[in-house]
Amino acid sequence: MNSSVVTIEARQAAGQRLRERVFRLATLAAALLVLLLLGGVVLSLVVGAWPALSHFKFSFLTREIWNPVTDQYGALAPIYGTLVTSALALLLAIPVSFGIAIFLTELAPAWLKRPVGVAIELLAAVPSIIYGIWGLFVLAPILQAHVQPALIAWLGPLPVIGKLFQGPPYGIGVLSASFVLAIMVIPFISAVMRDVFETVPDVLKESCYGLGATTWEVIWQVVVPYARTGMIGGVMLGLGRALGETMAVTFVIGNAHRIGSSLLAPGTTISASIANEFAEAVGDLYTSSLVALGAILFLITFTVIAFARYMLMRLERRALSNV
Amino acid sequence: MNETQEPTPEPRRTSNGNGNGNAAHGGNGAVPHGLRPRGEGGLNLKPSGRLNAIPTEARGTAPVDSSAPIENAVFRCRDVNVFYGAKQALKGVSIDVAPRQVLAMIGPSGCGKSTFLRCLNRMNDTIPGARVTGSIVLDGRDIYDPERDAAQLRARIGMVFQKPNPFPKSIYDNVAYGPRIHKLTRSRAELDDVVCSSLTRAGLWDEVKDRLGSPGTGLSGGQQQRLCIARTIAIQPEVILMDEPCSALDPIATARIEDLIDELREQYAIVIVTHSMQQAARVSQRTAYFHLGELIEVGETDRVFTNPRHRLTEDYITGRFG
Ligand SMILES: Nc1ncnc2c1ncn2[C@@H]1O[C@H](COP(=O)(O)OP(=O)(O)OP(=O)(O)O)[C@@H](O)[C@H]1O
Ligand SMILES: [Mg+2]
Repeated sequence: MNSSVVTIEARQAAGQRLRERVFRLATLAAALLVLLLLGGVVLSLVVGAWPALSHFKFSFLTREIWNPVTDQYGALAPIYGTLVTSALALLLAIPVSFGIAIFLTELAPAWLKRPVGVAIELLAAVPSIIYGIWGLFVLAPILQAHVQPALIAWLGPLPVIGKLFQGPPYGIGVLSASFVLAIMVIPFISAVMRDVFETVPDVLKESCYGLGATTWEVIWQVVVPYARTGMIGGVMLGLGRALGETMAVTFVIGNAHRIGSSLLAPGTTISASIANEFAEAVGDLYTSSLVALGAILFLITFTVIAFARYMLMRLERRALSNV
Repeated sequence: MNETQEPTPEPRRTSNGNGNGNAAHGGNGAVPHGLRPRGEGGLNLKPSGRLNAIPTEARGTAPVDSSAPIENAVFRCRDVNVFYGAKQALKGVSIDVAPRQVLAMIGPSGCGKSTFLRCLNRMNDTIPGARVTGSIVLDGRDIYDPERDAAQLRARIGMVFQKPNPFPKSIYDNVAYGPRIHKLTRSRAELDDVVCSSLTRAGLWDEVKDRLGSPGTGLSGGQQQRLCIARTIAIQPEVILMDEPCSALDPIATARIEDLIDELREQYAIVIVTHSMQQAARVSQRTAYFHLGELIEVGETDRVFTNPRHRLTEDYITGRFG
């Protein structure tokens, strides 16, 4: 080998190394930017929320009062509304999503799978304001006229849960918001569940079928146990979305800063409060209280998403180790 | 191995029964006279030297069916076609499966061996778009009769897969799974007995008796496959279907499974798909050769390997393709 070739090779190698280093730095910078943004968001939330938090201390979390006139603010009502609407929405959405996902992966004839799958993805892409309008003008009147009177009549007299179904049927309120939220998260949860169910190896299902198990037994004894962590991850993603949903909820929840014992009563959520009041918030404490609400919401959703990611990660690791 | 020494429970059919078979069959009676396989006596069963005794040209090119209907056959399959969507994977297969015998299915990759095997326990039902026509009769009734329940049927027909696939449960629960869903046992003690005897017959008991509670997926590949066999025989099936049960195993584990198959044959009808012709020769009494979705030839294993009647079979077993 002669020396000029060697130097050309060496120069090429050096050029390559440089290119690689530049590329690596560029991607690193992009990654750092994301972290920086996240840090910035957290920082500005904390700074913005500080006046309210230092003024009300811990009572900010425990008081229901929300009075701009006397400058008294407590986050309990929106926190309660957020958690209750999201929980109710999940309660309604999980069984339906589970049914959709099972139907799509295990039961649907091949020609039906694609159209239904695409329809679900389209539902997920509908802007939330459309759900809000629809909820206010279509769903709420229906609930008011047909569903809520029936709930009051049937469940109202029951001993414990009867309390949740008292009062006049307003149409708008916590229950209606939960319905709209449920409809909004169903596409997400069912899409994730379907994907998770599809990771269940055919050989596992077939060996169960091969022992004479029915489809029902295969679903409950093979598919669901295998997909459990992934299903929880999907539910958590849906929960994360339900917690933060703003527009649709603002339309149908009634926006009242109080904790009604009845689910039919109007209420509010964190994001609905912020969206409703930020434009007219005057005074530092008022603004700061709203930012503090935002910080609380951030904390809740962050926890939920982190938990969901962890669950999905566990599932992936198991799927890999099974190959 | 053993099959030459042990008397086969079923009367062995040679080509003497062949004419009747085709006549009774109808479906394959279309083989032209000139191409009819030549008669063959017991003397032809010598292991070597027979392949070239008959000039290739004299052998048929049309499918040869030496499967005379077998008395008290477990399965009678007639003109079975399978379609995956528009693609036909199996074309007019007619074959009988005899009790207490191993039927080996050989043929090049993609020729429909697994497809046929999966017809026998209606596993193809679980594949969207798969369609089966023709008749597969098990104790007098077509298994695809809409009245018949696929789950009940599969409980009588065990299946062992290519890749060992124990459930992600304990060894005990793997074996107990079938008896539990079919409520075959009334007490825990009875279930313990079934688990123990199934594992013993699968030749796994001594290796796992001290760790029945540990996960089945933690066993070695060969042990897992024997666990799957134990799981299958725990429901006391009448037939066991095996789809390349040894292809993921090393030679020693393979030999153990083959011994096991030989023992199980005393009780069950076994249908095994294999890519190894040595294995087919070792474990089976009858061999069926598939080619491009057609059953080309079926007959006694010795006869098929020493004296194939069809040119495609000969090409395959002499390694000319496949
Ligand atoms: N689920 C399926 N969907 C569509 N086509 C299929 C399906 N399963 C099998 N086939 C097709 O049917 C034909 C027969 O396949 P089969 O699996 O029965 O072959 P095989 O003889 O078992 O092959 P191998 O020896 O490789 O296992 C092949 O052409 C295959 O592509
Ligand atoms: Mg196969």
